[in-house]
Amino acid sequence: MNKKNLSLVLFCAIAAILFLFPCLYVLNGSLMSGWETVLYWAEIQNVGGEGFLPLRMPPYEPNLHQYLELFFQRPEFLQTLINSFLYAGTSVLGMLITAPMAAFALAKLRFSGKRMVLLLFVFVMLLPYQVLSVGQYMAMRALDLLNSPWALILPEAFAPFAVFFLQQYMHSIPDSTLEAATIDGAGRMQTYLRVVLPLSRPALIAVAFLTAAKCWTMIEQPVLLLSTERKYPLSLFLHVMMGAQASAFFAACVIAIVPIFLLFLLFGDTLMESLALTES
Amino acid sequence: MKKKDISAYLFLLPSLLGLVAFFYAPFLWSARFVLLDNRGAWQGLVGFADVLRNEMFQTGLKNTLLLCVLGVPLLLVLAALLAIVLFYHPRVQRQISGIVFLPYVLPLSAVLAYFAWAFDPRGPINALRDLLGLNSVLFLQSGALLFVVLILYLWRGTGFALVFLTARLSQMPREVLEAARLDGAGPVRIAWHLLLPLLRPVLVFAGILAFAQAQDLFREIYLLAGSYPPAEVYTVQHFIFNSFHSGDFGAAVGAAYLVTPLAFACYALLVLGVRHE
Repeated sequence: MNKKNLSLVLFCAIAAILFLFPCLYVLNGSLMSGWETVLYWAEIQNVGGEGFLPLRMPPYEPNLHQYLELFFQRPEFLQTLINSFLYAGTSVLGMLITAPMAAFALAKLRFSGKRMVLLLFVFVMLLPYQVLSVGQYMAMRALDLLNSPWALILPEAFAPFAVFFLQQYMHSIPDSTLEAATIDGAGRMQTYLRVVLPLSRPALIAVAFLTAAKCWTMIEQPVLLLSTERKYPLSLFLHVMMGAQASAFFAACVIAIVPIFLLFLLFGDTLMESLALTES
Repeated sequence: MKKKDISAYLFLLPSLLGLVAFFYAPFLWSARFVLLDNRGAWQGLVGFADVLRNEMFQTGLKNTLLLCVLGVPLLLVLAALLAIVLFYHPRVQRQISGIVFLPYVLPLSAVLAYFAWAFDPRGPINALRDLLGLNSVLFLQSGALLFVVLILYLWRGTGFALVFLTARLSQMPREVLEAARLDGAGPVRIAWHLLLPLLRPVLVFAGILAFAQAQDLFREIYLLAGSYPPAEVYTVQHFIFNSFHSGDFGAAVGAAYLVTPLAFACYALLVLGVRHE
């Protein structure tokens, strides 16, 4: 092995340790028995303790008790898991209906006030969530949507990032393709549905993935807008479990990671591809 | 309005309605809480002055600024370096950028459980300090939390920026690269004169996203240390969140409005900084 290869291997090893070890840590925790997790929480809590905090890797008796507990004895966990799927799914669906249409208009149609409209989207994109949160809370109260899942879903479905991202991508579709469709007698709606949407597939997948990932990990929105624990998404319920030092916390984390990880394995390449085509 | 315009706006309509209903209208309407007093009478800018004088707000603002000033450039430099290194090693580019991106989508609670172990007084980081003859630090219960939060920020955000930068570099024509090599340019010169200029526009975009993430670090701090963390990591967002929860909507909205121009100042700085490198 020559010197260049060695440094490359070293580089990859460091990256893998820094970024994959936490996953391994959580996975390892999920294979502990209930008593071992409880003991482990106690060890972490005991701040004054001496010596090295044990990693407990591998667990004393690796088993799947935590998973069984989650699926058979914790209906509230299953409920929040289903909630997360519903919230993320509905948000993505809403986004896919509205955002590409707006992006198409911004990228490919000529009309007065276009720059202004684009700025409207960008302005909101730049604002951190906390700045918008108070107003959103008031709006949801006025709409009688407090403690309703729609209070989480609607702002995500209309998130301006999706519009901005998609219109950047749609710039890469050559005008001649659209003109050809027009000459063939297609109206704007048909051009949009038959030409632009299929050509934007990679970007649609990418932005759907990013929207889903954002919904899957949200914390502040449910803290602010929901008051019933039964309606929490899994991301927040995990935090509740962690606070209660529940024995099945690590298994719950693993289950929370799996869907988003699978999506990433499936669509990660498409994500990168569409980013390469997006001019920013 | 021309016919062409009408059809374009029809395409925009659903999105614009959502944008107005859930972002603009609430944001603008909430101004009444700071502009009007409790009985609904106009009180001008008094509400803003109150917020500006509040010591907690000042602390929060200072910390938020510090986090942004330290975090965003560090993140961009790290991501750009990594993107360039990976550009020279196309064989592992996909895998490594995938791995580095992973933390961005991990549930925060899982990440925090790991950080609680890693930064525990008896955890690996302090063991390392022990080896170097340094005292162990209560990272999670003291002002050193700022350090942990920064690491967390870089760890979670670098991959996200990296994906954008790598994608951009993949557009570099290989012929140009070959020509530069034949002219005797080394990898560092190529990176400086060819790759960095190519990255500039994406750096602005990644910077905007990184900036928004830095502002949203409230979430991480909130989960690590609750509503009232050590003063070193008390951010403007804590001030907004806490004022809101104690029913002082005027202070919450006032702070939100005061931070808004800041967001744009940082954005402008970023654009200028990247343009005139």
